[in-house]
Amino acid sequence: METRIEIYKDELWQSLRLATDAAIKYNAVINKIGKVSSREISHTNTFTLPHVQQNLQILGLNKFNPAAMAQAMNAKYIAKYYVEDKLLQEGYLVINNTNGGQIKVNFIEESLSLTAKWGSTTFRELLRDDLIVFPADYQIAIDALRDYDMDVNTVLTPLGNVGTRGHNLCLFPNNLNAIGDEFQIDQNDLRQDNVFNPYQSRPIFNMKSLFDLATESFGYTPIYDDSVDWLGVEKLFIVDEGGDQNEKGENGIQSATWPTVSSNAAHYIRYDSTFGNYQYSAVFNFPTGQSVRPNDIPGWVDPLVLESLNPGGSLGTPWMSEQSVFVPILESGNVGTIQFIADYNSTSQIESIYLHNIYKNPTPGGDVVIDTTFIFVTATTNNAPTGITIGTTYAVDITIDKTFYNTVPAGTGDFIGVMVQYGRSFVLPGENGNLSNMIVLENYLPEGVIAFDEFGQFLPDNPDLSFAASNSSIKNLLSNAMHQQGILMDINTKNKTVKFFNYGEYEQQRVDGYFGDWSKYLLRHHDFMHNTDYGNNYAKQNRIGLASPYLGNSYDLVLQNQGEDSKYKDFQIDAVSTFKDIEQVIEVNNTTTPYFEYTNMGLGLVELQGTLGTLEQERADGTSQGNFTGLAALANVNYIDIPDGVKLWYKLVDEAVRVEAKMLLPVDEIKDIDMSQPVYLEELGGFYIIEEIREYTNGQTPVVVKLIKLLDDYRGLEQQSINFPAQLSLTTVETGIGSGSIYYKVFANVNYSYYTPTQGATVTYTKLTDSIANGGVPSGLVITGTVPFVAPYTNQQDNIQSSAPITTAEEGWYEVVVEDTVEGITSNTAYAYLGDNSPPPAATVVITTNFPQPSGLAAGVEEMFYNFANHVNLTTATLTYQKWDWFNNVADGVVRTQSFSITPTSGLTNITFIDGAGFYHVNLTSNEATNTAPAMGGYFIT
Amino acid sequence: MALTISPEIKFQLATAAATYCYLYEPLRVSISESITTAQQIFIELEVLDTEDSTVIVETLPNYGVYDLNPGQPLSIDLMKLAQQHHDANVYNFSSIDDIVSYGWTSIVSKYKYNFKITSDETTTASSVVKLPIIGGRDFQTFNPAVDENQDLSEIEIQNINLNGMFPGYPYLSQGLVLATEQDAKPKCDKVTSAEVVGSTEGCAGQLIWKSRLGGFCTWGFKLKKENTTKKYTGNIQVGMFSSTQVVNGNAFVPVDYTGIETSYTIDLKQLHLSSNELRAVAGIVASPAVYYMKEKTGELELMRVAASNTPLDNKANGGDFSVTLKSISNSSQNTR
Repeated sequence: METRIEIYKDELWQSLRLATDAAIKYNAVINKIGKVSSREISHTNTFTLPHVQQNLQILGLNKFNPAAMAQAMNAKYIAKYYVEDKLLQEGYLVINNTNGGQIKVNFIEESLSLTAKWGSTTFRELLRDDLIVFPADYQIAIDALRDYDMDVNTVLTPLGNVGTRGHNLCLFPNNLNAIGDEFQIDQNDLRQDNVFNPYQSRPIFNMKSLFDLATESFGYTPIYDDSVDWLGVEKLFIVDEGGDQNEKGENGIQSATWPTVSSNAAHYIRYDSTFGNYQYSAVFNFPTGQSVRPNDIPGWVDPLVLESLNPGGSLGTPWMSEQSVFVPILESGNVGTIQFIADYNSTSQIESIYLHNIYKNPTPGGDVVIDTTFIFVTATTNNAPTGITIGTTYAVDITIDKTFYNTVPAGTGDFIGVMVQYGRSFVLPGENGNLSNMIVLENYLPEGVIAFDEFGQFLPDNPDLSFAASNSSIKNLLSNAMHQQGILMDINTKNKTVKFFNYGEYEQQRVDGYFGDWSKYLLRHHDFMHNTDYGNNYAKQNRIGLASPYLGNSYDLVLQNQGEDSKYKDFQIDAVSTFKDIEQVIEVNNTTTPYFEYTNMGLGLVELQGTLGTLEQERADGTSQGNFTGLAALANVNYIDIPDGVKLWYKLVDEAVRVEAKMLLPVDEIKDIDMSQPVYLEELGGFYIIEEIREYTNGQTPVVVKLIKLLDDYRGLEQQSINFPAQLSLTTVETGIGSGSIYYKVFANVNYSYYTPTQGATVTYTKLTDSIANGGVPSGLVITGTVPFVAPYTNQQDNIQSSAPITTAEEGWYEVVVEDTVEGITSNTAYAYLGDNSPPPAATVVITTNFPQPSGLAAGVEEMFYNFANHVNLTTATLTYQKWDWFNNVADGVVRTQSFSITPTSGLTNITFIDGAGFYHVNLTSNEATNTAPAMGGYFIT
Repeated sequence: MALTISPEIKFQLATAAATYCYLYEPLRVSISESITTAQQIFIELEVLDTEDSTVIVETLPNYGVYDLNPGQPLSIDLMKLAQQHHDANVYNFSSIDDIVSYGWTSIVSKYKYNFKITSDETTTASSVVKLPIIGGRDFQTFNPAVDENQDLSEIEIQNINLNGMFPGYPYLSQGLVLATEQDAKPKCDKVTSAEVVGSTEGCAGQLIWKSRLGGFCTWGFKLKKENTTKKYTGNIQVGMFSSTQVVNGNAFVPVDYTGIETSYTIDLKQLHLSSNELRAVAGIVASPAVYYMKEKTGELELMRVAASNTPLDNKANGGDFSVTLKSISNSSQNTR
């Protein structure tokens, strides 16, 4: 019977030595009702280990090596905490400090370790953690979320449910406005009829998924108790803040300047004899890292214009071996610009620009597909299409907005790169058409970065939507979610479960018969402390809602049980601090699919209302990707009513009394305690909710238990009554009555439980041929009787009685059973023996010298009394004797043996001890027993 | 170009050859590094088996790591390191024969300690090998030089001959061997004084205690008084009566405590000790372990000394020696 801590180190469980007075105090707590917005769990206090070599060695404490000491102090050991040799808790042991020959340590219950992980991990980090093993269905959902295909040319696909769970992890797209004024406004500042732009939508995350992931991701199984409206929870979604902001920098766009390529000669020169000037054409060259050579591109074919400007290849095809195809950075989509700059030695302002956009052939093995954009530039104008700008800052100044590539030509595969062919006409003699100092300035969106354009549209085409998961810790989100729903939590580290329930569960458990009877542990003569001090968080009128509630969207809960003299203050706001309410709601009067549009810029909570009908998907620039249906429609969390869990919470505050009582709790009660079960305390008049067990030491040390009275008919379940089935229980008592047990009785002792009997139950005594253990069967004798039924219907007795003396027909084993024919129930079966069933006495043999001896006996002849008693079958007897030196306690003669008459079985007989007078050891042995030697060990034979 | 290691207290020894010292006395050595760029001193603790010092039980590199104050020697108490490594759980005896058998591990350390001292510049280790005697003297009896002739108990110091003093009772005789011996285990013998018919010396039992000087002392007593004490544990409030049954029960008085613990004390007294004898037994108050031997057969019970009285008065030639012992092994029973 001891308290001890074992830690797992070096692949061994090693027991630490505890000081005699170093009781470890364990606190079991479900939640303090006064703490509305936070959740507490069980834990232990700091305690002290003696500074002995065993502990130093196990913990690796070496004060002469600071590095080793630091390592030991930073260690966290898997530990088991035993009380009275029973495992109370598993967890971790950490060293706080060593001080004055003591080692101060803390046993951290494993549940604390779980909540510590919740505290140190944000929801976003959780979703992005590549080491955590998520449930398979969640892994699929997270993968889909993190690699979302946001094609600008097709209707976006909504994220689906998590496996078969019936709810999704993330809702995208949806109609919640999380970005502000730009939402659903196009580039002309107009809202189009029946049009929706999902690129302006932001992902929001399901609250139920938060519960799932907070538990299952860390190896725990959630238990979702029916007392909570989980279908309601599944409709709630968390909106992260900053939906209108880019992830990095101003807009997430980064710039790159690639190395300058000094020059490239024109591959085409034509002299115009009419005007006496020249026409040139050259191809841009690029640095190696950002370009490829046509020679290296499978299926390469020259753009037609290159060939036409190079008839017969008279000047060769130098571009084939040059780095002439620029490969832009498009990993995050067509985001940013490419600016081609070069010097040109000509005063001519007539430019011909060919942008040869190279695509793979969609048919494997096919030739590349080239889509050429020709731009003709004069001194005053150019015909550059949208997305391409011809600048004047540099001699050659071409800028391509990468969105230019949003429009993909038909019959093309993946984009490879762009070849820039540049030429001028009317180049004067003395000038030349070579490109020199070729520079590419590129803006791009780094991979994985989330950024939005000026209309709030996603820039990347493959965004990781986990960016919109909240950066608040799981603990904060979960705690606020539980606050919002009035949910309690019980972490069972042994079973690896986390049970989520509300106060209503206590009544359900009571009705179902799941409660502990702690009456016998209550120190009922200790004073109980009664109070209703639930803290300062409550008032007569409590305004419940989200943070920053939208006008009127709150619930005023009045504590009805408080009279005018109530000690509570008049008014209190109970807001879920982390989750904001909506900021705005507008009616979108679409002609076909009207809806209300709610704005929540986060960190907030919204509720899924349903889905919308047909809408057209359009980007802000007016490009349409087609019609779709089923857009998720969000609304505010409506506080016209509040969750049951919150109501029940306040009902306790309003009506229940708290009691602090002292108990002697066996470790068996506390080691696997289910704090979601109420306990029955007879002395305190009913069922109680355990709020806290404070500083438990062991089964011999009184512990303070904080209790809250479970209200009668708390949830309206009272009328169902306790659902125990009616029950008859039977015990039997055997007894013999009168001197020498003249007659015998068998009593049937009956309890009528969980119902009120209307007639006496019938008891049947069936005589058996033998005991059940010996295979007894009914002998044919059956006796019946009736058990009385007198309130409180316990210890009701019937009996059968034998004749005096008992007859053979009566004596024997009986099978006894009781039946209430009205209720249709039968008791357990009991067995009893009518008669004397005690085992037969053991055989005994007695032999002793008779006193006084008759006169005249010869020396060495002794009159002896003998008796063979309780023999079952006496057949033979033998007498042995040996003369003995009494003073020195050694033999003084040989052992003599002779047969002994067994008839009569008792009497006097003369025995001749042939070694003459003296002290003898004498034994008389029958075939069933031997006599017991006298205190002296023998007899003096005269 | 090396480390210099010198004991700070004159006549203490810090040599590569094994020497004795007391575990619970300071053994400060001054370590000087001649290479001025050295920054750290390292002590590797090589743990040798005292019974066979060729056996290295374990080697603990970097057991001590110290930063050097440039140009300054480093002062280290080697016995602090030994104390940290020493497993003091050595008082597990059930009879005097156990002490004879393996009690030497409570006289000297089970291990010789080889402190191998290096620096980040001097990698060749300088060794200091010590075999600690498990004990420690007070200032008045402190003598820096400790060798194999060291008296291991106050009885030896006072030259008290126990032979024949308590007829029929065994006592312990011990002595050190050279610390450099491969088997440096000390001798520990049981000597039984011859029986003397009719002698009552020691009839109240005998005490064996571990001297702070390393060895064991023995003394017998003629007078004894035993007392058993009890303590109720756990106060719980109860009512006037309770009932034995839910209904139709009989009244009874319930327990208002959760258990009872019983222990006992023994008062031992021996009359007319000489002054030297009183000096010999006075050290019992500083003993880490005192055993009560009730019978001549030698079974021992570890007990706590609650009080002892050895009235050393220079105006009197001796006095009475009395000791009060308290049991450690308490029995307890729960009532709830």
